[in-house]
Amino acid sequence: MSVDVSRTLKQRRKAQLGADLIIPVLAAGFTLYYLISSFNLVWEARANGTVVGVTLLVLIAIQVARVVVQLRNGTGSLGFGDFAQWTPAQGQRLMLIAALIVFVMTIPWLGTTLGLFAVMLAAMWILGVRSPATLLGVAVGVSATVYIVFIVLLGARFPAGPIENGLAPLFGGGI
Amino acid sequence: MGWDNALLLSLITDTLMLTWIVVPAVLLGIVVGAIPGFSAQNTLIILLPLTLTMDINVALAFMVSLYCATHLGGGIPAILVNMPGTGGAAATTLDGYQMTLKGKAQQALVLCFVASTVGGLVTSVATVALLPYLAQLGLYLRSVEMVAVMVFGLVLIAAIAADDPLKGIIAGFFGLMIGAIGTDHIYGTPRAAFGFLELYDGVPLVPALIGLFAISEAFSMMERSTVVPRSSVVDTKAQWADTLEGLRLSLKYWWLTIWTSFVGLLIGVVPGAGASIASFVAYQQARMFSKTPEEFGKGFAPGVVAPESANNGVTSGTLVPLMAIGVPGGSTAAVMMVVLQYHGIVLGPRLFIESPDIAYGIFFSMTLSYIVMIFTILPLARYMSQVVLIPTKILVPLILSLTIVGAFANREYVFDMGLALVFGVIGYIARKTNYHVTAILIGVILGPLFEQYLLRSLRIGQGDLTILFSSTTANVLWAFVVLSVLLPWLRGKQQERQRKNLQDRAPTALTGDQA
Amino acid sequence: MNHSPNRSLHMSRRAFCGGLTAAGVLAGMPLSSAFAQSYPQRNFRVIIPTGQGGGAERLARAFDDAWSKLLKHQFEYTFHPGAAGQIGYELFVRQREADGYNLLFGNMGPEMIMYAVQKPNYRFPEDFIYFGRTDIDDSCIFVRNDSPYKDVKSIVEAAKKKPLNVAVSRIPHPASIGLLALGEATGSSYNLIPYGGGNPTYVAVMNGEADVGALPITGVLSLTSQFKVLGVFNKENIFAGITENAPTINSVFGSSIPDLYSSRAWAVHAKWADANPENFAMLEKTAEQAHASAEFRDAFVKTGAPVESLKFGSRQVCTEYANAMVELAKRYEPVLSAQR
Repeated sequence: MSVDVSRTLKQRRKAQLGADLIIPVLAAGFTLYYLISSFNLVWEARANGTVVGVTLLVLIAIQVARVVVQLRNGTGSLGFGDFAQWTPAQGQRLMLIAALIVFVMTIPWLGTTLGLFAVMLAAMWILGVRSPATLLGVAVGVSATVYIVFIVLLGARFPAGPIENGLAPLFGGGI
Repeated sequence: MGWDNALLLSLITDTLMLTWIVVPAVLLGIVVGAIPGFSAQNTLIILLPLTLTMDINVALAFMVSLYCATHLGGGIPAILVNMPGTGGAAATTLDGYQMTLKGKAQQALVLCFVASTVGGLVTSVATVALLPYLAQLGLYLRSVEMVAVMVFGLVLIAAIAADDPLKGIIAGFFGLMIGAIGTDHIYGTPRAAFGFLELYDGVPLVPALIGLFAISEAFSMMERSTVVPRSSVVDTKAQWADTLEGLRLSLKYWWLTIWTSFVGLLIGVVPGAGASIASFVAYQQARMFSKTPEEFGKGFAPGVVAPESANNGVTSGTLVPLMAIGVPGGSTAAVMMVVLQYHGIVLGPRLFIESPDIAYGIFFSMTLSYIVMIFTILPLARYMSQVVLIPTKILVPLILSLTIVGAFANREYVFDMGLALVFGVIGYIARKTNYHVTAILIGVILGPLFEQYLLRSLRIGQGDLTILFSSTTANVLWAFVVLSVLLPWLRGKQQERQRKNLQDRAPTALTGDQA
Repeated sequence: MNHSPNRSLHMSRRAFCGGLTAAGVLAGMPLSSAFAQSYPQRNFRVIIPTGQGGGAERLARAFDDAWSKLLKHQFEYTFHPGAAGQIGYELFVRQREADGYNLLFGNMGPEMIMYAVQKPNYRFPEDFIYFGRTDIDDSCIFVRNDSPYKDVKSIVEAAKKKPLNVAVSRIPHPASIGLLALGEATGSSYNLIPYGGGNPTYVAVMNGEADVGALPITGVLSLTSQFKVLGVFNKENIFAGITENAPTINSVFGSSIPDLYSSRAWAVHAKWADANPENFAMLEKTAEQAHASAEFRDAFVKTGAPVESLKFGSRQVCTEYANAMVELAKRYEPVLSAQR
């Protein structure tokens, strides 16, 4: 039984090793950028970043060494595990990210209310909601609530678009 | 202090007369606290035109109640969907969300509500009684002492990532590195900001919090149909019983609630420190003094009580320097100062002699707001816990869109919405590959403060490193730091020994445990 | 643009109250009355490049009490602290429309020093101009009331033996330059510790973390129960009466340190001011009227600050001062900057 468990664990770890390096690679890349870009500053401005950065690089080196040892032992591979697998959930996730990027990029023009309505609609559609009543009901409900509570009642200066500007003479809000 | 029965009586009656404004302020505070991105500070700035027109006592009661309620509200989404509403609630996710996953969302909510209100109540009463001493205490915690306090928080990085310490520490240092973005604390020169103006002031906490917790959690959550499988909630149908169980647990941890609220109070008194630090330090301390530290992070009630009690303890602490010496201890207190000065109130020691109704009244209003809070919120726990049953195909779009809008609210930069998304992707990868997101966040929160206090201390010491050990208070704090590292280690050793003894007696029973 | 934020402000205020009791209040809000003049027609949006609760906000709000009545429109503030004010200015120049409704209320002294040292992407006076200076806030040296240092001479004596820790708001700041100049003039040496704002600097002097503080004087005077002013960096100490006749630094040491003061002023996009001279003239004129009004002075006194510091300055006065600050900063650039 315990042999089975350890074998399954090994297999899982084997699939994850490449993925395990994503964060260290990101961290190392950023650290190098930090150290290089702050090189010209006096010591007080870069002391903390240098100490933290160098320690981080050492830690990452240990992590990489750990991965190398596992690769040599044959207990791991540089696969990316779940990240490389094209599962329906993975596709949905990427589509959601794309929808959110579009949302962020268009919000200065669409405004908060319309943008929220569109992104709610898109996100629910991506996640498989097909009932028009649910799609419209939830999207309208959320965007209307945000508009009334935050833009009209609280007067928060969220990005304004056609809806905020169009309704401003009635309720306020907009720019 | 000039206390007399007449003053006390008039303070109590005046405060009770303010209930009409305390109730809506508490409700509004809970709502804005629960939405990441909205905080007491930015809500109060938005509402400043309103508060400036109010009578000063009413304005103060409104602001204080709203402020305290946000700290309670922040814990709700932290528990239910692993999405802290405020920085002060980030530590609550560690055990709160685990309780939810075990089908104990309602108990966790009740623990959060009781700890928040009792912690806030106890510290606001204590503040009234001990105000002159607390004001002095703020002056004892200087840069050098604050370096030690920051290290307490940093020690937590290692503690919470016990499964894979190397990954945990890499995550923590990655966070510290991210926290080092922005202008340096001495000359104001930007560092590693990728040329983005929006990063000159450092990585903003709200988008980091939203990305690392809410967005990344939403990306993971979508693989399930509900946050918690319906089957595990079936046995919690007897709703009121769960509320009662939460209350029973709260009573059980009454002492923890009280002492962690004082941790919050003391950290709150120090200008510049705040609820995020207080809650992490309280969590770390609670874990250190616990008989079962290994239970933390697995849905353990004290893991909810400690941070929630501490972040509400901060609320009264942060007002002490404002009222007693005329210097705001935090950004929310700064907004309150604007209102006070607008009404011509001169802050500082004289305030307690010249206008005791205002000086003490603010803490009385706070006490009232906590009393109002517990009665309004407790019965709602039962209904709130149902959030976990909303289908994720609706909940995930809701979380994603609302939190991204929330990321904008704090500084009003569209850039922050994109930043939240970037942190969301980093957080998701970190979660999937077991790099603790809380460790990254602790780094992001504490990094800039640690750097600021450390560099300042080194400047004061004029290059002499022993400055860090130059005061008694600091040395006591350092001793505690060492203790918090050694104690779990020694305890681990002891447990290992005990386990070995057990193993020797029953060799077959526990073999799998060591893996 | 008939959807003025003025209305939205009133609206949100009323609607908030109403919303708590009855949603019906939202309907039928009266629209604002028609405006006789073409400018201004809506509210002003003001960037403050320092944090809320600071001296700039206090002053701006006191000032707009009077100014908003003359302009018949409100002021809405956003705070963009960080990078010694650079963020607020960059945002103002790069992202705020040059339409005369977007203003900035800044502290010219430290912010022009920052401009000279950090060399940001905007240009003065090509991108923005200052007008409507509100005050002159002399830099001063102060200590705790129970400090062993009784006068500025004892401070210099101590600083000749060993660098003296001085709490300052920022390194690129007129008060910090004052200390550096004092060091040059007397052979003493000061270890400047920046606290990132007035409030934390007060705390540092109060709790003894730093022996001495150097800041603009008005904030220090609002905390006279805690602090004592020992010397002022200007030709005369206009607050002699409330500072126990604290001397000017130059009079004590026979030095010729330039006058070092902070001055807060309004700023607007240069492009707009030059293209709309009449509107700008109206803005400047009403600012001067507001400055002279009793309403502003009363509101200012309420904040605990002394009224003697209020001194109006035109666009020309502001430009001269700002340029002088740039020149001064260039002289001390090596010690004010983190760049090697």
